[in-house]
Amino acid sequence: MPFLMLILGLFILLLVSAISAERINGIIINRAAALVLLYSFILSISTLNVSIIGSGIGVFGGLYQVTVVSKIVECFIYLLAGMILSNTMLLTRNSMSNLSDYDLNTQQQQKKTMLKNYTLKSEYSIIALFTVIGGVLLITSNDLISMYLSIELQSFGLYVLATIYRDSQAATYAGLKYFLLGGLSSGFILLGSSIIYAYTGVTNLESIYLLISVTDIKDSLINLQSLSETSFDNLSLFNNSFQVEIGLLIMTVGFLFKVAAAPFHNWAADVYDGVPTKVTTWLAIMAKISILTFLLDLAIGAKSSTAILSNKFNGESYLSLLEGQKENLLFPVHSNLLLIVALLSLLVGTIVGLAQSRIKRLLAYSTISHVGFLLLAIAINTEDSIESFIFYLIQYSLTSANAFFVLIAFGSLSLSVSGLQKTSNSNNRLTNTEEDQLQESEYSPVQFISQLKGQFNIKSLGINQASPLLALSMAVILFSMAGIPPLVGFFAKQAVLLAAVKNGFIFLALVGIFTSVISAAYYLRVIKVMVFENQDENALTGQKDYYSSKESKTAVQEKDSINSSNNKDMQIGELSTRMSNSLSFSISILTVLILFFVLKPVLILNSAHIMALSLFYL
Amino acid sequence: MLTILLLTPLLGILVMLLVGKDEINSRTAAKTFERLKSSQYKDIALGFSIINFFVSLILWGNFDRNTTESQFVAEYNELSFCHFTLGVDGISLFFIMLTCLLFPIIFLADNKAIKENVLSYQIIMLLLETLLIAVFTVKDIFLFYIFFESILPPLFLLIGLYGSSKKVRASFHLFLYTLFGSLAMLLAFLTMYYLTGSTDMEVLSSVNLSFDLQKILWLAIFFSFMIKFPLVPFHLWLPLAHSEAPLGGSILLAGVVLKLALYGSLRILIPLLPEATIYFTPLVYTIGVITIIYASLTTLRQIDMKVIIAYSSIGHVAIILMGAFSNNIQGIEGSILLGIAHGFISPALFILTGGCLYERYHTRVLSYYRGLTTTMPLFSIIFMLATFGNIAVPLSSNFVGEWLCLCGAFERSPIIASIAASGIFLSAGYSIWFYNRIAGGSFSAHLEVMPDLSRREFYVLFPLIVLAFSLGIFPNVILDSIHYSVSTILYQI
Repeated sequence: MPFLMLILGLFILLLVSAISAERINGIIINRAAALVLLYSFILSISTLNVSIIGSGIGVFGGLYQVTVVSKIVECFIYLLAGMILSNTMLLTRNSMSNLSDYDLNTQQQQKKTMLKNYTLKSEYSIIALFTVIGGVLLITSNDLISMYLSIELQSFGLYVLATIYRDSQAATYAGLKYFLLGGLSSGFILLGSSIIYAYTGVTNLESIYLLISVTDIKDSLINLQSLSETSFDNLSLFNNSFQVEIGLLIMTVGFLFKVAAAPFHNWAADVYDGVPTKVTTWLAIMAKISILTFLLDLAIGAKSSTAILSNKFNGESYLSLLEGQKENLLFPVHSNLLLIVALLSLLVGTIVGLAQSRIKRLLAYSTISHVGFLLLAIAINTEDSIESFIFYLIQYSLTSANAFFVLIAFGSLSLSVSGLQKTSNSNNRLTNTEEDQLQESEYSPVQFISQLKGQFNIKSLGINQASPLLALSMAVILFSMAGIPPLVGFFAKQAVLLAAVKNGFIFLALVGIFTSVISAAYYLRVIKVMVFENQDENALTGQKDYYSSKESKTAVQEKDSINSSNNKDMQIGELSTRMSNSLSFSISILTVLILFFVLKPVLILNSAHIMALSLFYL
Repeated sequence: MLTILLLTPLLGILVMLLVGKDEINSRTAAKTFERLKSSQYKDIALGFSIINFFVSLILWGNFDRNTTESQFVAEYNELSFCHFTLGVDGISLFFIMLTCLLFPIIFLADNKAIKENVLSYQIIMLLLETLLIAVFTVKDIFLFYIFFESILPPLFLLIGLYGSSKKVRASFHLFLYTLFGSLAMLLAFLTMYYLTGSTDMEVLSSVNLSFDLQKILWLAIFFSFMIKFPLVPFHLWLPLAHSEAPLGGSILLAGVVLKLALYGSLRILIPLLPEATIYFTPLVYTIGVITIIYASLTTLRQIDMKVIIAYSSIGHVAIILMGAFSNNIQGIEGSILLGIAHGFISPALFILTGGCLYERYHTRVLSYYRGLTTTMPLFSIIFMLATFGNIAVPLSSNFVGEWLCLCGAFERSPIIASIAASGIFLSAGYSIWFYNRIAGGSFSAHLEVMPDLSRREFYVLFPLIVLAFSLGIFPNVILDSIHYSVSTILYQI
């Protein structure tokens, strides 16, 4: 069990950081945590070879169940968590040096801030490990109690992570909001599960699925009887199934709250925007993977149990009965809820996203629309759709992690504090209120889309200020999110749409297509700001005598850039080396993955296929 | 052979990125964009595109015109999710050759105008060359969709980075219009895939889909092509994109990208959904006629030179459409021939106005120009020949193409074809008006005397004009090679 390794590593790190006499450098803890995650990843890969798993093995007395899907998703979570952790680790050092040239403190004060940052840092990675454990336990949990405990473990870790920078007002505000609404949704989950427990008396999910199926079949039998002769003796069971249905609905609403699906999405934009960028990376990706996988388990479990039962009752009359009763069955309600939420998420995520000027809010809304696609795939609930769901989940997590990495990298590069002040002074784009909002810039240096302006253009910003390759990878990421072939995002969207068309969800497929065109508009807007616009607005307006003026202007610009580079030479010398190697390495790996997925799609597609098949045929 | 054709531009990109280590003294990534002198990048890109053109000539030389099967087949079965097979037949051969011919011309024509981000420009262009050739060679509707769509991001960046004043708006229009249309096509393709289990064109052409379904699929795919062609209610992106794009982008858009919808119709709509095509032909013809007349009349009211050429392209493309959907061999061959001819003439016009004149006088507004014959005689002669091509006077290949198209359309529907034939008259109207305003009359008071065409400009224009007229005199060079392939997509009612 790889997550035992994780727990062990966590305890050792906790002990070490608590017991040791002098404070241990946060970087060391962070590296240790990343190594623990890496080792867990290797372990979990080696457990993939255990062939006796079949349809799943219950561990810890049936509280948890290990299946093929849970194992592969677990692998993926470890890998991604290790990646995110190792990248955010190296960033802290950068943000510290940002601080140092930002407020020009005395040596001592600098040291103080340094220390403060580092102490926060060690907590950060330990709590991150907690959330990973919570997430991994959640995807394997097979019992209402273990489910609730693991989701709380994950959520509490995330609440603490959100507020870990105590001196940032926005982060505290966002963390509080996250905590309150997360607590509310946990309450929903608890309410739902207690209703289920009250009316069934079992907490094991397998048993609940079985019970539901049995009551459904009995209902059908009763209905049959009521058709032929009037006997209503067993009707109490029907009532039970209704209550269980309600309980399940409430529980699902709680989960949908946590993944920020549309009617329950309002917290997401505020929270993502408020917390520091590296924490946003963690919040936006890690929490979603595990909860969505659990939702998948929920939907699948219910469906497959009915399928098994219908196989067992091999008689034709029962089967036809089941067919006839499909509208009255419990789970169509559940999947209808998912469908409605998917529809709303698609609409809200794309349409509200059009009005955003802050980059992290924009990414939050884009996440909502992607969650819409994921929920659509869950709601369809066939082999194709599950396959597309898993593929979509994997590619989306990687793409969105990459997007946040690029934001972090932009923040640690030329756009750090000095570049920021330059933009806010020279542009009337940033109004006064916006400038006020920029005060948290040490934690999330890139807040506005307009801050990315002209990053592609070397001429406009000067060689040291612009980062064209980074802008290019951001463009690739955004094109992929918009679903432009041949990038990986297209294949995911296409798979979901194919599943939808195949199973007759034409309307939702159309909605998905229209919304992805609309969302392309806001992705393109970011690309436009990065690539097309120059820092110097006049270069665009002076169009009349285009060539002659252009000559002189470029000359002026070059002079400017030379001047500024001379002035800031010392600063920039540091600035340009600030992006850490591991960060640039992960960005380039992920970008290349997005770009060239089309050349070798076999690994991801086949494993998604196998996972989907394992859910249905084992 | 096709692999070489696809990989040469990519190799060019690689060489440009790797060659040149003179000035790497900074560790910043930005420096990678400044290592070579910009002229060297231009030379490398031009060289590779010329190599590719020679490869395409060899392809043509080895092409067997007496078979309907696809030739030079290259399969890559490692790509699991679809059927990655490349092949060329009569329909695609000349589009590939047109693409390969136009790229050296693009690089030469834009040689002076692009001053910033030179490397990115060359990379985008070479990438586009590969993608366009891929669209014309794939034998799988899913791959067709992928490549059809993947030319959008490079074009978006191309227009947005190097375009003129309204470039952002133009790039957004191009991208969003096309994306919107092609997603409808994607849904149709997905439906075809799940019904038949295959995305291979040859398999799909042997499958008989039900008539009602064919109609829905046809409408979805035609909607996409309507935007790409473009036909009237959805044409607004084209004048904007063509006029705001840099010169190379305009040449590319008018020369090759406009033909993608024609190629898609000949490849997918007509052979895969034949009954629906026959059923909807009246609709197509109505839209086509409206487009011809509307676009031609609109052209007369424009003052921006590039917009004039863009609108005249819309009119010609509508005639191409009429020929392509005529379901007889004259019409379809005419549409291919007119497509090729338009691929010579409208780039030539763009180079003449958007390139030569704009570089000299820095305005695209027609009203400023008058009497250029007096100062630029060579320009006026070539401009006159290109205008004749645009009018489709006899001896130009446009004439042969237009004549065959209208002939085919006449066989389907005499009344509609005679209305459409007024397009010839209208195109003569606006072309002569356009030529007259620029070249005729006394020399404009707004202009200074500028040198005539330079050697580079002349050599860019010369092959286009020569090809346009020699193919008009002897069109069998093209027609003989496409007879067999075209006859396979005819449908017996």
